[in-house]
Amino acid sequence: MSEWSSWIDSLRALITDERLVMALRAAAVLVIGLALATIVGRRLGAVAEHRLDRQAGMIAKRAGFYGTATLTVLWVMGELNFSLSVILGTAGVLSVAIGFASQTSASNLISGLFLIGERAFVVGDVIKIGDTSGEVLSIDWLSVKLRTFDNLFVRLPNETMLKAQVTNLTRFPIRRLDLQLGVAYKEQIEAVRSLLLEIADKNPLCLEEPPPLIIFQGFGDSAVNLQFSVWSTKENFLRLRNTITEEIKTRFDAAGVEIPFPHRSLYAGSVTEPFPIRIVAEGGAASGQRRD
Amino acid sequence: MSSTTAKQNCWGRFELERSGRGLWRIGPLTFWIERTDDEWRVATRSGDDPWVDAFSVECPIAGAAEGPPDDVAWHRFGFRNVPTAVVVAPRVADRAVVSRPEMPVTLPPGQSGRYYVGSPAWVDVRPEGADQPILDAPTWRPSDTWFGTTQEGSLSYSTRTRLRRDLSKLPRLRQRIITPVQIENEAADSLVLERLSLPITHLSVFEAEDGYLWTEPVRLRRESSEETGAVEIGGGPPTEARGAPRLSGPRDKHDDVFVSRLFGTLFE
Repeated sequence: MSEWSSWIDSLRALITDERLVMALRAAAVLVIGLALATIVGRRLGAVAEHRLDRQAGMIAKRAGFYGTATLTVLWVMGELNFSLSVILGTAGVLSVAIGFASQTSASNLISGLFLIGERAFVVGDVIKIGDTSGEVLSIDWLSVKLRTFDNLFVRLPNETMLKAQVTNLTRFPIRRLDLQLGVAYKEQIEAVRSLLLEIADKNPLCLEEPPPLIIFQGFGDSAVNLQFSVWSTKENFLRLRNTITEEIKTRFDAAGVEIPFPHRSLYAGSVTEPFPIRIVAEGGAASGQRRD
Repeated sequence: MSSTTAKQNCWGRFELERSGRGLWRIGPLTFWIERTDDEWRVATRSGDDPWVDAFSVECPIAGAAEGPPDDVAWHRFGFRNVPTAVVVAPRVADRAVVSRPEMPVTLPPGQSGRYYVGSPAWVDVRPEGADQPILDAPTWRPSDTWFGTTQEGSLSYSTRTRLRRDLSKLPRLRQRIITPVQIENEAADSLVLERLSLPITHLSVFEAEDGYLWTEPVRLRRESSEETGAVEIGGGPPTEARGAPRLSGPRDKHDDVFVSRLFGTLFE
């Protein structure tokens, strides 16, 4: 019985201990505040995404979360009787050291703000930077995340993105597909042009307007070189590239239009021996005859 | 089951018993519909020639069951209680259609003209009472075209036929829909009509006595030099198909008068 009452007394003393009460209150504020920050962030993100776009949703979500979390932390420090001025003073001293140590991070952070503000690309766009192409998954504080078409995750530092040439493949609703073709010198260019226009006309993915374009590119080593340019929506670009290439080959074959491969004339030269010729019998061995 | 066997009109309500199968040929589009114990199944095959004059239905297929070729896949739709009938109806295209006159036409200020736009019909098949179709396919897939600039605009279909003043010059096929368009130029300058984008998704389809399909007449008023215009859609079938019953409603809801980008100049 006496053990029980002493345990109650020690518990009562603990509850009346100011430091414990302070710590418990701070912990409660922290837990509730962070939960609230998550809810606020999600709510704001959902509303912004619904009304604007995915990128605005992502930014609003982060702003909501970090804003509420910062307020929570300040509140918690107040509960723990931390003096804000002391903390800021300490931060001032540390900022020089931190600044030197985090130059790259700070540069990426500021670059990220420029990338978001400039809106050269947004979440969901397909971009090409250097040899990497992919869909933008997120534009974060320090880096841009891409998913490549072979399903790889690529992280590109914001600073690199800001300095490099970035091509946005899905910014505009329609794209032009440029196909380089070569036809034999014996072909009538006008007939080839009509055939190409007919192929474009029959492919439903090829836009009728802007009209297809055929550009003479020059007399090549083995062929007359043409550029055949057709337009499609950005969504149908790959499908058009596959279907129209197949159709050109099929129709050229059917119409007897030759797509030549490089021709090489071998010249042995006046001072060299003529090429030896061996006549091979049908289904049999070489006769071994030599003709000069 | 046999009540619909000899039916010649491809549009309407068709009953099928379990394991029954129907075959429709509407222009270049051929499709099969089959009912099983718990599913409706649809298979389609599209042709390349938009001018095929075919309009027949065999439902249910008599004799030896004629099915789709092996390379045509069935699309299956499951139901808790399988409806016993399907409703087959023509619909307008699911995007605006762009048509151009044979040569650019100039309408001076205060002038107007009545034109006709032909477009392929879509086929809408839905089990009786179902909200969603099990087939919504074009009788012939028109080419895509772009209406606007290379930076903004809208994806549309290009009609194979020209914008005509003379109705008799439009091909009359039962898988095509004709829309009469009254163009009025109320602006202070002339309207050079090179391309016209018809917001066809706002229109219903009517079947005239002769079996040809029509939409409501559309009145386009150009009030300023902008390329936009006020669109007014008639309340019923046009005078050319007076009294024709409505077979399907519009895809998109609209007000009686709305403003749309209609008159296109070619790309710069």
